[in-house]
Amino acid sequence: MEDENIVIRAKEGDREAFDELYNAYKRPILNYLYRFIGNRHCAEELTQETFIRAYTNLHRYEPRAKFSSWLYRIAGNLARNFLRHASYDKRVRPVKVDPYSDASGDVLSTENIACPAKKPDENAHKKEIGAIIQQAIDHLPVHLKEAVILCDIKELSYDDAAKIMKCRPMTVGSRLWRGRKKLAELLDYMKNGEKEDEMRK
Amino acid sequence: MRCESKFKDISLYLDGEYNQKKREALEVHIADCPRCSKRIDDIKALRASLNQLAPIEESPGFDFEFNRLLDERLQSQGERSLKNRIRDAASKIVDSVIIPIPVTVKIAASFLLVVSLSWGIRAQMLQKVPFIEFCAGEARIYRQADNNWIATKPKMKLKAGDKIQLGTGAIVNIASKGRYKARLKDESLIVLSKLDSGLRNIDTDFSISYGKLLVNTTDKFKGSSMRIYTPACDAEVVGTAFIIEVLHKQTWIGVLEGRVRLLSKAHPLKAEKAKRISTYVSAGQEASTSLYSYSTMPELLSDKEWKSMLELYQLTEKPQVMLLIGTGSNRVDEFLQGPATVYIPDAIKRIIPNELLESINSVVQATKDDDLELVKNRTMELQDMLQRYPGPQYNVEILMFIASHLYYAHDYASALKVLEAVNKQYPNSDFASLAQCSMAAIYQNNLKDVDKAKMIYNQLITAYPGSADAIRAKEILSSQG
Repeated sequence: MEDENIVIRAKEGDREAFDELYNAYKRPILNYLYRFIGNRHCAEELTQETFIRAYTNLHRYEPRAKFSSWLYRIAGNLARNFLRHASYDKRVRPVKVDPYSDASGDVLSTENIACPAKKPDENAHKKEIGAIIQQAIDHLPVHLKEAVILCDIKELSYDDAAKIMKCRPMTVGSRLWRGRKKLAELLDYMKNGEKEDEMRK
Repeated sequence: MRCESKFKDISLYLDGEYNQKKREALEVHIADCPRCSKRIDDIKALRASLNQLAPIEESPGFDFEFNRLLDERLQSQGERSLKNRIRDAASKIVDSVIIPIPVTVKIAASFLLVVSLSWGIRAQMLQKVPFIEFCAGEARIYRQADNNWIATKPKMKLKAGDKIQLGTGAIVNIASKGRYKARLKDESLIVLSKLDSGLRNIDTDFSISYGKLLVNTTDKFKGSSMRIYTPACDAEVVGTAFIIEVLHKQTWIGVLEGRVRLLSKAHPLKAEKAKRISTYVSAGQEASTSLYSYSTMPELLSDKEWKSMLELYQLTEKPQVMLLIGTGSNRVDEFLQGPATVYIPDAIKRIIPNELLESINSVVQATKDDDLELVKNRTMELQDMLQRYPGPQYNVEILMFIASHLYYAHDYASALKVLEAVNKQYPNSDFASLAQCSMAAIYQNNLKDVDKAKMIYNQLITAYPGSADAIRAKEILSSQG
């Protein structure tokens, strides 16, 4: 594999080879972490930390697993730790969204999510919907969130996701359907809350 | 029809995780079920919207910041790297020397080690716990746990507090593997008052109310202890073979090997003032004690008592034919006095050919019939038989048996030949000196060849200076002047 050759060079201390890997994976990792913790600034910091850890621990990486899986695992661990500590630290807490109270005036409906192309002002609307979905993702339990991000956003197979999550493929499937169900419920709830809000108006 | 499929099934179905059979079944169902087709639409929509989430890009200066952080980290690591390099080199050496063993294997191995060790120790301790080896006649045992008298059975393990009662003519053999064997006889009542089994040693206390106890300890008994409490005294065993007999307030003890320490008992009312006197009874001696008085001076065993002591040999574990004869300096007289007897333990009966056993029995029978001619003939037959079936476990003993019987039948020439054979072929045997001494005695007493006798006695004294027979030889030579 191409990655593996580059990794071997990087292992020998070739900083340029590592830069190649860094450039190839920084965005996937950044997006993974962003979806995971829902805060852009923190996601960037954690992405940097991920690559620093990867560089200093390259000697521990064994080519049995894909290099990308290894990176995702480091990132996932950092994200989980971050979320655990974040619950005590309001400063870095991702934007608080309470499905029971509506703060934003955005319109959300399953039709809108399902067919975003219908809307004329596509880009602006996409952004809105993206923010809402991210808020819903933020409310998923960590292990379900991980499965949803890896399989439905990163579009990895059960097997690849299982390697990153260090579990069996069927566990990924199980977490995935529960994550999807919970996510659909959350979005549904947000939509209904919106309707009630409108009715009140 | 009720819809039984769940969100889970639809989710897995959409991800292509179902096999053909399940998939087809679900597809048939979905075609009819509006709820499920809605679910499919929902999940597909969710997936599409998640998939279309716009990826974010790093902020300007992200790469610069990363490189700065990385360099900073590497620098701080570099400061520790010298230490680390030394440590790494050391660990590499250790790794190359010691084959890496997974932690689980280590844990399993140490667990196994602990289990097997404790099992081994337990087995060692259990092995020495005395058990009933053999019982015959009317014998019963009382256990506190059972609260009932039950008949003794072989292989029964004994516990502290066990009471054993025997009727007339009964025998119970108690054995502690490798430490001692004991035999209870006739009308007896004994209590196993204490039993401590250690890793190497075993401490046993017996209390005898009345009856007879024979004890024979082995070489390994050293370090173990045994005390026997009788109404009249306490007896402490010092690596030994002895018989103790308790008759009401009288205790008699005869010792065959080693010695036994007798401790007299003081009257309870005078207990504080009275001294307890201990008496050592050594091999070949007997002593008796009665209640609240000191033991008699140990005296030599009488012939009759001596014969009864020979029963102790039956208790020893060696699977060997035994010539029933003492170890004292007068054993030559004993040997020549009447035909010697042999004891053949059950364990060796499997090794000895039947023809040989029958031949021995026919000699014994002829002796009982007191037909000297027949004894001589039968003994000659036995000699032939032994040549045909020789065996290291019994050769010497049976040869001595033959010699004794030939002498008994007044065939001195043949007896001398056999004794000479024993002396020459088995110079390291216990009986070599006895054979030589017997030869001298025969020359002196029966053939009246005093010079020859003197010569053999002198040879004996130089060849076996420490033996009981050499002591006897010196006595005879000095009495002759």
